[in-house]
Amino acid sequence: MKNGLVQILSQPMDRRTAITVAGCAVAGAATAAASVANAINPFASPESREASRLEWQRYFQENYRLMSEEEKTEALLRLERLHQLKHGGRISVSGAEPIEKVLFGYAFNVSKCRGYLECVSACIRENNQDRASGMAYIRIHEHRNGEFDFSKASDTFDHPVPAEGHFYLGTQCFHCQNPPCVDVCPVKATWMEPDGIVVVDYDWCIGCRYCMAACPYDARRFNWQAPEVPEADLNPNQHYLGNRMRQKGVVEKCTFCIQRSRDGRNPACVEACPTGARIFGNLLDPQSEIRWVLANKKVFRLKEDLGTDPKFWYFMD
Amino acid sequence: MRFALAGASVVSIFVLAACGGSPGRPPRPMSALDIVPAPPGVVERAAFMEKAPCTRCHTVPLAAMSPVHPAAHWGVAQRHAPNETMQCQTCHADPVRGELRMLGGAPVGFDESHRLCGQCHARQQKDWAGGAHGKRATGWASARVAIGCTGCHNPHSPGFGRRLPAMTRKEAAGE
Repeated sequence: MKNGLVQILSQPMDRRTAITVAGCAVAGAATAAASVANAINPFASPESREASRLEWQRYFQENYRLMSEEEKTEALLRLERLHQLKHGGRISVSGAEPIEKVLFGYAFNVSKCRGYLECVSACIRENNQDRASGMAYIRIHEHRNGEFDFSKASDTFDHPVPAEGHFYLGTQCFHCQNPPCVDVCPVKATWMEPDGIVVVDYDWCIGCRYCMAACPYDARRFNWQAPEVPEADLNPNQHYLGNRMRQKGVVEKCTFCIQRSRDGRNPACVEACPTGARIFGNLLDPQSEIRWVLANKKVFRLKEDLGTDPKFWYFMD
Repeated sequence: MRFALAGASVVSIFVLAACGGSPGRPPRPMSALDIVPAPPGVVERAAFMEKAPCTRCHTVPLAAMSPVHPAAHWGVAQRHAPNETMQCQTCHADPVRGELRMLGGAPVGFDESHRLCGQCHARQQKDWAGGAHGKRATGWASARVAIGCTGCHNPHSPGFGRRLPAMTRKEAAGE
């Protein structure tokens, strides 16, 4: 049984892997080096050595879009096993592919939102967002009636809602059909899937935050620290491009709950909203609710003049 | 609680086809004004109501039984419309039977609140039937099963109250 560096070096490798392996030795990439050190340490426990070996493999895995089917399966199993080794619990990491003839769209009823924040709470739990830093994909903006200026709106209100004379409007990732965040990523760690969901490969992201600067909607979040979720609160039903645990120094965002939506379910925010202000569905299905809203309501989008073509519409009763 | 009840009853879907309801249900009366078709399915509720069927207690006309159990419905306050517009009998049949009544007196089941409420709230009924109002019990990919009006609204006090948000300010503040 070969472990760690021996195993890696004994495998046939492409040019990139060879360069990174060599580069690791030269540049002394701390994480990988530590993994190797532990993986070949005869005094470390077998579990610890296995975890180190898996971390090493994960460190040098391909961009998700360039992985072969086998590599994808390996990457998914690796994440499941790593979690088991480190935390004891079992998780399921899916790599469910987009469904054909599906393009996801979302509508938000401004008349119905009352600022209860049930959506934010459900989103945090569903997507395993860091608890300590208060990370949240969704923001609910409390606007004064008659005003529509986000700089004057509050997204940190903490009083009984709905407040007299105010209305509420939620923002999150709009999954633009022409996403500026994707254009600026220097390493192609973020892209739009065929079903319209803009995703991030957290293992490929280098944390430069160009995408955050490019997004006109403040939809992306950065992990300034390693996100932590108590094991008991962890949602074990995960997707590689969705709610699997992120690491320090990478960007994350709303994925329309890809782990749910590709399973035919609605995103957690849609399910949690007590007033029915959130509508989700397939834009390519003429019978869907979202299409009915687009056809029968006066809808608008934010900053339409930018040409980002968000798949997220607002309407009023 | 209401959601839990509604969610548990998704299994009992009835199809409002032109030919009438599901077996055991009287055919739905059609009228010229009945132009807003319901979604393919509506979550059933009657089977989960605490005090149903009404005829369990109401075996005699209201006037005859009022001194017997005067507190039976004290928890119910009519905060829906002014009393001059709505009283109990606007929706509840008298003499009490196992159903509600339309404004014209025709009976309507507890699971067809969209027909009853739609008499006044026609815009909401249209939005609900299309998908812009209310919630669905199923995901986006399944056949549409809508939650009926009374799945979310208390018909006696249909407004949504003022309360603290589900989270504190710090948590909602973001990064």
